Amino acid sequence: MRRKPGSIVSLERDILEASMTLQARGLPEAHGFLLAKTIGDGSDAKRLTAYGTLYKALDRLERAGHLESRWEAPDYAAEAARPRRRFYRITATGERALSEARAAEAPTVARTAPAGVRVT
Amino acid sequence: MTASRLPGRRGDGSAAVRGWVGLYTLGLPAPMRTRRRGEVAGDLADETMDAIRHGDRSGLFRQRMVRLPLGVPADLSWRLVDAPPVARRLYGRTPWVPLTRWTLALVGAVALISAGGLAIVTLPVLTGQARPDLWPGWGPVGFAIGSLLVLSGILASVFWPRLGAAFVVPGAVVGLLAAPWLWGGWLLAVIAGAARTYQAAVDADRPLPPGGAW
Repeated sequence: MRRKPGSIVSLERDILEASMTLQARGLPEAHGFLLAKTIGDGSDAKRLTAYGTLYKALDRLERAGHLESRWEAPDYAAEAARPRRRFYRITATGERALSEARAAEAPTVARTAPAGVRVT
Repeated sequence: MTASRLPGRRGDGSAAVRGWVGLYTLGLPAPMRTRRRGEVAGDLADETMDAIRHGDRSGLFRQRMVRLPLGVPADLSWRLVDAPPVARRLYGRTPWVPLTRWTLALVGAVALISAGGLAIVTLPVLTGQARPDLWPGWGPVGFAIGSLLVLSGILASVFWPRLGAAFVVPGAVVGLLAAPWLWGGWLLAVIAGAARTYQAAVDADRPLPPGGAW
């Protein structure tokens, strides 16, 4: 199915949600694993997003302007004795896309509410 | 201990992940290649540290063996469909034409079907369990040759569309003569070869996507 230009799919929305959650916790930037962990913690399955799926979605979000990224300073990574991390930060465009996705989902939730449940 | 050594430990699955990433990023411009490899190396290191923090290092292998294969379709789609136009835009035009999602699906389906057909016919012969009474005459040989030509051609068409089609069409003809009841499969192979060739021919006019910060 062809997606609408500018629209985001479920995983991309989850990534943007995770970025916002982390931002609210005082982390304006997050690396791939932390985003996968945050998404996993928020789901029932508690499973981490697959490597390929995660990095493809991050790539697409960045190309769409919803995220921006930078490499961690090499000195810091060397000090911690690990490879450098790539940090992602949600942009204003990303926040807008997320708001639109939430707004678009609201009527769907109302339409799909179980029988007998009144949605006001 | 160096930074590059940290994420890997024998038996934790990190070598398999790094090996796969190294494989599918082959042929990309160095900045794109090193970025994807670096990102996944960082992810592996963080995953390892997280497992150590939670005292569950023994579960790492299992977790990675789930995360790795589930992401393979996305990796292939990124490598064959998304990355080439970005590489072309940022690092100059390359002679290779990326697949579209449709041609990738067609090529993948034909590759799987022809490989499966080839295996079904040749494995009993190789293991001495073939039953000539079930399919007499030159049929199995023709079917195997046709499948092999189609498989080689369809894989070659990913990189050299016209050369690939030059293998697919005769392969489909031989296969059709040997196994006419499988006409749908041979037709699908020809359609896939033709679609890939056509797509490569018209690609020059395709608009290029915006690129990320590499």
